[in-house]
Amino acid sequence: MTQTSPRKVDSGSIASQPRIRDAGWTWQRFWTRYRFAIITIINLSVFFLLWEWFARSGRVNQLIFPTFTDVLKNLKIGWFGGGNLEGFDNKMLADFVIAKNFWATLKIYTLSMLIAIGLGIPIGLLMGGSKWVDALASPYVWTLSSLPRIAMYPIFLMFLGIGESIKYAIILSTAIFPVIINTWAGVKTTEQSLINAAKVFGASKAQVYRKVVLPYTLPFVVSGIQLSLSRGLIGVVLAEFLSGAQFDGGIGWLVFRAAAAFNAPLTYAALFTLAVFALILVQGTRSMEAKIAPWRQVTKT
Amino acid sequence: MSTKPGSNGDGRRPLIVAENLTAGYELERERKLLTALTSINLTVHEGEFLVLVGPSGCGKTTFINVIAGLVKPWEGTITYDGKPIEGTSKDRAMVFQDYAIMPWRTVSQNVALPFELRDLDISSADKKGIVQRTIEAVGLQGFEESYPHELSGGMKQRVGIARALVTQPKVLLADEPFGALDAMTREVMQGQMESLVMEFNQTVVFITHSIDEAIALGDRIAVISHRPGTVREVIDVGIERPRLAEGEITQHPRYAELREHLWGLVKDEALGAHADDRLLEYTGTDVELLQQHVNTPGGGGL
Repeated sequence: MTQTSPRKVDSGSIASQPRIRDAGWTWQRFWTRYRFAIITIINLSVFFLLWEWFARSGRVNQLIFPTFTDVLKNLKIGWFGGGNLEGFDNKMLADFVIAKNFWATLKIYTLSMLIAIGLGIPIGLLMGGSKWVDALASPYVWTLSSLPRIAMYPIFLMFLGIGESIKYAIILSTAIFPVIINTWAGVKTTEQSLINAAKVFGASKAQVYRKVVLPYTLPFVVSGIQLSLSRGLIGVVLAEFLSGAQFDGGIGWLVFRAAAAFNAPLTYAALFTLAVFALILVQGTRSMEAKIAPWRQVTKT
Repeated sequence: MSTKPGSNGDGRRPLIVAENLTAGYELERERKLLTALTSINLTVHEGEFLVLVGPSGCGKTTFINVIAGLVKPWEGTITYDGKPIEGTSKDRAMVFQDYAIMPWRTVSQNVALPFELRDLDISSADKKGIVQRTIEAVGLQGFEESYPHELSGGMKQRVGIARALVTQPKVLLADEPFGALDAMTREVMQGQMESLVMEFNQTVVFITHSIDEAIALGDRIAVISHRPGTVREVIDVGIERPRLAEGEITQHPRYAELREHLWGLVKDEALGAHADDRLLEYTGTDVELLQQHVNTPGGGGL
């Protein structure tokens, strides 16, 4: 299908320049490129300076609103040891208290998220692919996904008692449904014209599934996972609030315990750890989405 | 100007024959069966470029889906090369209005798709060569590793055309392939379609809304009435090729006459279709009888 037109465009003068050239360095380009980072650094510095000033100014009780430097100090002791912490009777317990609890949280969170994803994807695929499975499973899936999961805590407690297993139950029950529902939606909304195209070119039912439905669903699964990661984080903190009596009760338990002991700096330090972890998680999955489905990123903007 | 279906074709062999064909689809939500086309008698000859024109909703797409083997006829017969069409075949490939190329595949992966889906007796090295040559034939060299979202509409449809041609099908089915393109791209694509068809003597069934496109491309034009669609008239274009490569086809003495005649036919149908839209009248009264003929695996989704 080559151009048969006898008319030719004289493009000699245009073609003498290479199509892609180095743009060169100007302040304007430097600013356009790095302005987000620059603004963020200034923004956060101002925020923490104001915090420090406000806490020191005496307008607020430092028992509930500590200085930022105190929080940093607690963060350091909590992670790397080497000091006493208010509300903790001995140094042994205070050292590494954030680190120990963070690793406990991370372990339980990672395991239950893996279970939620590992179960949620096949359930969603089956529900989307088979009308029978859909009809049988959907009353339970939709009811449980709309029910505030914390309301099930007493039942979990009756069955499982206090301990590790109830934590898994809470996290799993909060995190699994976004995965199921998003996967299901991906399968259900697969474009009919893509399916028809595959069929025209000879796809069997299994091939339609493998070559069209699954790749089409993949970005839906990723956003489901993204959603369920943040739901699961709520679940893990909740579970630790409710059940963590032991010392490695997790970062949620530490926030609770430190506040109960009126150790505001440690409360904030634990919270800060949690916030950074959540931020890394969300940003990580966002870039994962961009890598897995670049075509969706473009249609979004 | 009008001829009986099948009478033309310069003595060429009839390839696709529809006799008394009725087909449609199920509107699941309304629990109704919609007859899209009825009593179609039409023959596509080998090496012929047949264009179907008609108002929207006249069943053109259903007809082309029946030929593709995606939709089973309710009544009547449809044969390809003398044998009833019972499913899709490597002999019949299709180009879609919305391109229907896979966004997660590169250009060359999209073009190679038919090779993955059908077990053709070709070595993988040969396949690679064929894919590359087809990509070059539609003018996409240099974009082999690009993804569809990086391409313009015209380029996307070139991918769709390359994918359809890569297995060298006997028949090319095109469902308003240039409908979503801008006017300039459309004209370029029409010209390239013509040279392609002339080069390979390709049999084509081509749907369009545009009378100008129908005259520019078709050997014969079948005018389909509004729903349920049926063949109102089949017209021989009778303008020698190449029509688009040099000169203006609109200057041809036969052009104005053809255009007027076609416009007269299509206008009636478009007005009729409009009236139908307001009444929203479904034929297919004997729902239970028709139900037996409906074949969902072919037409419906998963």
